[in-house]
Amino acid sequence: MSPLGQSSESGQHGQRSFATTHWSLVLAAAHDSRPDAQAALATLCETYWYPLYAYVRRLGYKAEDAQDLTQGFFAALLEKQYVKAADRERGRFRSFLLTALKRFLSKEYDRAHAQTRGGKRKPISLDLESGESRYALEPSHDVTPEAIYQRRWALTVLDRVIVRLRQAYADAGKEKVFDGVKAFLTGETGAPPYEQVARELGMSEGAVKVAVHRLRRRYRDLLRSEIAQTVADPEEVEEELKYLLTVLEGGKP
Amino acid sequence: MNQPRQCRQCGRELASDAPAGLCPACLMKAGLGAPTNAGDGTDLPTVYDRRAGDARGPQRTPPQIEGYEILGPLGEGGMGIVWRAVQLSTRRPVALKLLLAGGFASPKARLRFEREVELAARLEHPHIARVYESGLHQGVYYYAMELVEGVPLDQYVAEHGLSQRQVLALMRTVCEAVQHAHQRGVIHRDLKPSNILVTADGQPHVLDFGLAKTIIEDEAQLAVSMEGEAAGTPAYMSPEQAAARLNQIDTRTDVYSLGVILYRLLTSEFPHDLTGTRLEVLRRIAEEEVRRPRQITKAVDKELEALLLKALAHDPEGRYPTAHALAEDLRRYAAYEPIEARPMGSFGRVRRWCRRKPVVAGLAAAVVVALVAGTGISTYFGVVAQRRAAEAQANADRETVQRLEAERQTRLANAQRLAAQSSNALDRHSERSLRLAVEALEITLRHGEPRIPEAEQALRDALARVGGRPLQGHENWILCVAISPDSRCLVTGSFDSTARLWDLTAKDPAAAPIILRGHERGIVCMAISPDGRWVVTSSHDKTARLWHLRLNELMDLARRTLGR
Repeated sequence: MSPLGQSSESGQHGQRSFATTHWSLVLAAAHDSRPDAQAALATLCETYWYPLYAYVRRLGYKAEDAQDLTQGFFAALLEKQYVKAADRERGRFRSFLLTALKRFLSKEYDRAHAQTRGGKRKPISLDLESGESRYALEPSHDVTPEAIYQRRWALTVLDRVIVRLRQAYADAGKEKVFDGVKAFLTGETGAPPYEQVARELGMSEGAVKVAVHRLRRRYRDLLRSEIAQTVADPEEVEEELKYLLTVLEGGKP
Repeated sequence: MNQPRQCRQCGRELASDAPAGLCPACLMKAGLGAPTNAGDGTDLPTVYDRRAGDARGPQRTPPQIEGYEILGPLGEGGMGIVWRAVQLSTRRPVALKLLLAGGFASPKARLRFEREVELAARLEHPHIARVYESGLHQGVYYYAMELVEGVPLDQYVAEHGLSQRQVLALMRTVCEAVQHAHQRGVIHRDLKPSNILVTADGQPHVLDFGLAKTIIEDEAQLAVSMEGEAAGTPAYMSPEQAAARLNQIDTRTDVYSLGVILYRLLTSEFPHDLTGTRLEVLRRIAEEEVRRPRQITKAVDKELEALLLKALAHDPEGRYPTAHALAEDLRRYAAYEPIEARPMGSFGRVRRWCRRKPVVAGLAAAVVVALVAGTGISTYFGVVAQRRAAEAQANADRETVQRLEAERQTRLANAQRLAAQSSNALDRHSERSLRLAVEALEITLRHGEPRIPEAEQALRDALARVGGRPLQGHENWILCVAISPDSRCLVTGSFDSTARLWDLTAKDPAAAPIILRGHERGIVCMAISPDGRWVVTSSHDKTARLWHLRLNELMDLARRTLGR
């Protein structure tokens, strides 16, 4: 998912370019259907559809029904300007999406109706088949649908960030460095000794430490940038980050 | 056996799909650390900083590539940045293109890229920009190509206010250049006006054959929007590209793109609606029919419309089979000859005939007028009718000859197309590539026509890829080839009177072919039974032989005599 304008990757241009992150753009354009806002919403949906799918499945729907409902929901979302309602709350995309889905489900659209509505055009591509196989890997212990949704959301954010981080290194031809030092992202425990990594990468130990430092910095920036896509105000980024942390820490094996 | 792993830091269970194999909770926690200060923006040493189109417009430092002196930037394409440079060894000006995806995700992708460059480097044509060399520098791929000082095709047409005829003539040249590449097994895949530069002398030059796009197609799914939209506009993509039907991409994909360019130049619009998300556009291209050109402008007449629609046919089978075929129809249209694109209604035919032969047309008009006037027209009518009859007779013979020739051309084109498809499939599906190459060879061989060099090359490549080594051993020409239905075994028959069996499943198929001896003269034809157990070979020695295809033993079972 590419930000339509970079948001605070190094904190310099934060305020000015914030308006162009996906969710804030969608909210800003809630009352006119601008194509770039539509595109931003579509991109957000393409990125975060799986937590929704997991939620629907955990509610008890069978795979087929869940797929239909998910597809139908997104079609309705993109076609029907649900966003106008969100404008009032100016909340976060994560909460908005779940609330919208709950409303959709409770309105008792019969499945056929949802299908014909969404069937004409499928504006986003969801790999629902793979969604089901991913769902099969979810922990089977008792986790509420809502909990699964929040947790999956947090994991989606992290996945995206890692992908972008890796790509940034790959673009500069530094993939090997990334692979060598990524274990250090979460701290030194559990990572191989510096001296071993230095040998593997053909760098000095000092250089490895510098690389780790840079990696962590870049990761933090990217994480914030990714979260920023789904909130309306810059102040909310920290809050959202903390919330996602509690979600991830809460899960016990 | 699968113990759930634990995060060494916090002790939580580590799921198998944990991001980068790291504990999510710890990762998120690490993210909470203070955001970076606005210190040095250059986190990572980079050869160049950003993707194309970054709003912040950073300073670009030219890279250092050994053997070249960089003079300055030339521009940015969708795939990478282009620099103007001088090749030190020859002191000639070149365009140096660096690819964005500096590190390839897989060694296979890199191999494929290198092969494409190799093929492209062999293209020598006055209207194709030469590729001089390519290499790897600090993890970034570059290639050096002929520096073309020119203007993109659409810009040139607009600036010089070219007439329709001039546009068609220009595109004819482009088509022939593309044809040249196709015949050498290179498909462009990304034809668009910015890849066709027109120099001051009005000559077009096609750039970037087959390169760069190769990487993108394999790794990403085209339907999902990509980081930075580096793939560029899908406006010129063919339906099979838009739908990512990668194994259907062949020479006719380029024909489609040429059609889009023509369409745009003639109507100032695109054949598909390009509004909406990238995904919507791709879907439209992949599923919907193109807009009829005459609905946009009447400057395109019915023949030209038919020509465009044939180039833009949704099903590749309905398109011109080769770029040359398209060029030929362009030529015919300009010369007022009937074009291949659509059988013309009688009115159209008469009209074109009239423009071609104005004197005779005058006579026909006179006949019509006289008929209508009803005065003493029998002699006129008789003369004209006789002449028409004589012409028809001559035409009939010519027609047969032409028809046969056309069929031969079609076979040739099909063989070339299959050979190109085979090359294209080489890296991803080496078995399929082999089968395609064999088909390509067989098409012409079956009709007693010589086998085309591209198919031979494709077969050699495919065999090399499948076996890791070319299969050598025959002492004379290989006249026929057959592959077993389960693709495990290849049989070749040669002028040297032997057939050889190559076990494709072996580690080294070239090492120990089983040699089928017995014929006294060259083997000209062979076939493998559908159940893969028998091979029949027929030879100049007037016999056919039946061989049992068990690799460990073989039996010469029967001997039948041909043609008593």
